[in-house]
Amino acid sequence: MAQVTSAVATLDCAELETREVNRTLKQLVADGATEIRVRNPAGRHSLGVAIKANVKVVFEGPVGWYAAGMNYGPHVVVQGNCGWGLAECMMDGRVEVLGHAGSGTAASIRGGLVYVRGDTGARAGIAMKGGTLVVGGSVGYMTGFMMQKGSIVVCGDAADGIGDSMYEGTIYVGGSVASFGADAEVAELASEDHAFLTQTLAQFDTDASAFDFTKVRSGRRLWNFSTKEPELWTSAL
Amino acid sequence: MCGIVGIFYKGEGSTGPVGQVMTDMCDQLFRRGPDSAGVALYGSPLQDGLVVRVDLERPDLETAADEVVTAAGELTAVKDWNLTSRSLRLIVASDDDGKLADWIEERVRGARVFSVGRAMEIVKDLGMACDINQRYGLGLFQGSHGIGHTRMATESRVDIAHSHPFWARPFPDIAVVHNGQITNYHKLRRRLEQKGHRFATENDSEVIAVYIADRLEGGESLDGALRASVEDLDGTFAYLISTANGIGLARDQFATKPLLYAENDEMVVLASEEISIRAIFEDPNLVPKELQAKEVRWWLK
Amino acid sequence: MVSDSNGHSDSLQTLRESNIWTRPVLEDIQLKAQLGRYRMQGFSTHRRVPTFDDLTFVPCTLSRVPLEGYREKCETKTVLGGRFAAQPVVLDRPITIAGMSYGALSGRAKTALGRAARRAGISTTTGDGGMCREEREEVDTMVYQVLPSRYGFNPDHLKLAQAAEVVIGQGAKPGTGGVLLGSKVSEEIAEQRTLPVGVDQRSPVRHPDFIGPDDLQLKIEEIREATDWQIPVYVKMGAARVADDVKLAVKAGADVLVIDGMEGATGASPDALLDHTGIPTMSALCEAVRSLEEIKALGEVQIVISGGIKNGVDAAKALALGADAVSIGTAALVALNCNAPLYLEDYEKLGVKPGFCHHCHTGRCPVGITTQDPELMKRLEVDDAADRVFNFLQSMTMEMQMMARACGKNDVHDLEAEDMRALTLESSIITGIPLAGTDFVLSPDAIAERVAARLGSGSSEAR
Repeated sequence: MAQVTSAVATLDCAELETREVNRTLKQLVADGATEIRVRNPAGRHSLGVAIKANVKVVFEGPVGWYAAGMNYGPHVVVQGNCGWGLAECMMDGRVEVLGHAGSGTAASIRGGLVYVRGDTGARAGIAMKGGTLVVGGSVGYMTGFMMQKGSIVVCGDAADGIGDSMYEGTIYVGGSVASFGADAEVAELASEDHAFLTQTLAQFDTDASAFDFTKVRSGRRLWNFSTKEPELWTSAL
Repeated sequence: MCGIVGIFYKGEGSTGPVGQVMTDMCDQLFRRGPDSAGVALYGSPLQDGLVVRVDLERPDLETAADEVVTAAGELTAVKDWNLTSRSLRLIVASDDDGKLADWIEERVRGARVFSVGRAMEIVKDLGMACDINQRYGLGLFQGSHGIGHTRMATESRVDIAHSHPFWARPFPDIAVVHNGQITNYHKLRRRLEQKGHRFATENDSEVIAVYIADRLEGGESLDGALRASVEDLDGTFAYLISTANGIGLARDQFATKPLLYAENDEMVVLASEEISIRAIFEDPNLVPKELQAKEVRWWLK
Repeated sequence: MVSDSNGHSDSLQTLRESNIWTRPVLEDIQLKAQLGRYRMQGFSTHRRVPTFDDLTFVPCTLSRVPLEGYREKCETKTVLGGRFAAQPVVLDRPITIAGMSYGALSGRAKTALGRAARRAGISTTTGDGGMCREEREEVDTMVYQVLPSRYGFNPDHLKLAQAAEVVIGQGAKPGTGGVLLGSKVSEEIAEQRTLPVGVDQRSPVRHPDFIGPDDLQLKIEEIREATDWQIPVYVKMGAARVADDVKLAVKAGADVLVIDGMEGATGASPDALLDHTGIPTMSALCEAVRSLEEIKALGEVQIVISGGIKNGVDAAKALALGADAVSIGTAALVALNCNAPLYLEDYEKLGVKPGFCHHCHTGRCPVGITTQDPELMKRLEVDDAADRVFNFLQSMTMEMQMMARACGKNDVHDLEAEDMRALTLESSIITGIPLAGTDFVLSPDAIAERVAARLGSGSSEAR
């Protein structure tokens, strides 16, 4: 079921409940594994949550909702799709999904990096409080909604409502934007932006210069109540 | 709140074990829907006649079944019938006026007509989908497409009548399964009732079935009806509508309820969660993708 | 004076105020004519609604035997969350301090509440800003809220808690998110919430990673996984569609339901929401209990009720109606000094007087509780404040025990609806308790029974 050979351990979920899987994962980490390969995750929910350690966990298959949620440190790789809430509230660490992700990807993360090779559902990066989200494909409705800090890089297209009601933070979109969210404004890219994009995408064998990125940030008109732009407020509140 | 599933075998005449597949997929979603489960399955379309499924809520099932057969026989010829647990399956000659369901229910205490169609059969009951599969012999059902549902009751009661799928009564072969809550249900219902439509339950999901059927009856295409529904329905929804020819779906404008689809050359599979698809299908080419906000799709023979 | 051709006046000299266009209504419109938006305020609704005051206890006389007040024991220990958690929360008394954010309240206020709670053997709750470090150090039992905003959310803090509370909404403004106006988003608060300093913070109403009760079931499981199934998971809701919401929360796996009625207060809200959303605490409690009975979960899942609980008698009545504990927010702040007659000039600057202040949203709290201003915060002396709150908790407990003993109970949790009578028609219908002086309950079932009984016995009599 679970073996440690050198620092690499394997764990087969096949006959196990989520609770057993997570307990075993934590035990393997405590026993000194630096890399854990998990077989047959088969879309189970809440896998690998709340792990505070510098360990690599590879899920050899799709995972369900809240994968790698509330993590602090691990490098998680999912060889397949994931459901809603990937890495939600992650404090730090690195999560890579090689398939597609559901809604609420990287919700409220505080640090670290989340990468989705395919597409994400709605509300990716919602309420982000730091960290970086990189999406190789396209993103769904209201991506970056109420974002507070951090960066989102989208290589593909963005659906309606990108960057709606952002406080701070930056979103870069390489493809088309269906429509911008409330108080989202387009800004010029500076050299720091280009450097950031080049460096970030290079990690995933992507050449930033192949894209014409649109930079989206907060217009700051929703920061404080004001009578000056009533239309803006009627749609925002 | 619920889990929904669907399957469509592509190509004229292709079929598969829809009964087994739908109930297996439903069981993977048990967390979303612990109260009841149901399926609408499409077997070989009858050239000459209609299949009717009647639920009998009475301790004296045999007597009740006889009463239904007698009552139905007053309106149309009953060619065949059989009783499995509380589900009575009849083959009748016709129901051109769409009055058969009311006729039976008015005459037989405890009888509720779940479906009428050339191919569609609705079976639903309390408990897990696997229990329903066993109780009603669904493992043997071969068909071209089907939809299924597991239910966590929100506003209406936990009983069989309020379980999905809902038949778009009295339109043959149309049914819906829905995850979410239609918040302008009463307003829509009153509008449809004024047009002469009737509702069997107080469940908001039923209004989706009647709404779509109403549009189709008016000559609208399935695509048009689905797109209109995204504008007209208020609240949260991801729903599957099944017709004689296939399946359609729509997702609300805020993408609130999860729905995934996976497609290969043979089939299209739909489910609220990936785990439902993965547990049943091994083909690595069946890669589930999440549907977008306001997205509408359909697959027809 | 304007007069007619005969020199007589039409106008009354007596000052008369319209019932529609009252002074507050007139001022409200005039203010909105400047603001161009809705009006924000702190505190709770100013409306009159049916409350526990409409009920009275009917203690023992000859029909039941009371317990002696000061010599015979009356148990107050309360256990919450035994349904799934390995370590349920055990309180010395059936009272908790409600979630109030560090941000809405000053650090000193949170510290004082923590100290008082530890002495009283009860819990405090974090709020819409995350855990306040001082609070965690002061209190033994801390309930950690998981809110839609996730401001300050830190999994390490969750792991330090004795319970997790998933917040769906609050009684003051169900269906909407929290608000903290710019003057209270100080550097420290902004840092904790990852926001720009001085911004008018609006919290989202929905959680970022789940929508609906089917998702909630998965979310609760995630929290259990993160905390190794040790601690109870509470679900907090504003009282709206209580019957349905209760069933869904139970199905989603909640161990404890925290239900906040419309009398619940908040640091800042549009006043329209305070007055026109939610249902009264007493109504919500009755609806929740009935709903749990219908799904046979009464006893398995506990209810903590809040919203305008102002003394031990309210608490006793709440327990009698089926609550397992009450939660206090406003009452605890009042014990800290809210609306106390001190620093009168500062009340005047806000345009109010002690006893009339509901200006928490301004950040200019005269007594230093709901503010982040360093000068104002100094006005709350922590040890004295902690003493005051503890004393109030003591008084609440004694009042509860007093009522229980008078009704012949040796455990406050044995108080029942049958120990009370209703003083108004509304409260009788809401609670199902007979109107005082009658044995009659105005419910469809009760009426049907009476009619059936009459027809049954009267059939042989001529009319």
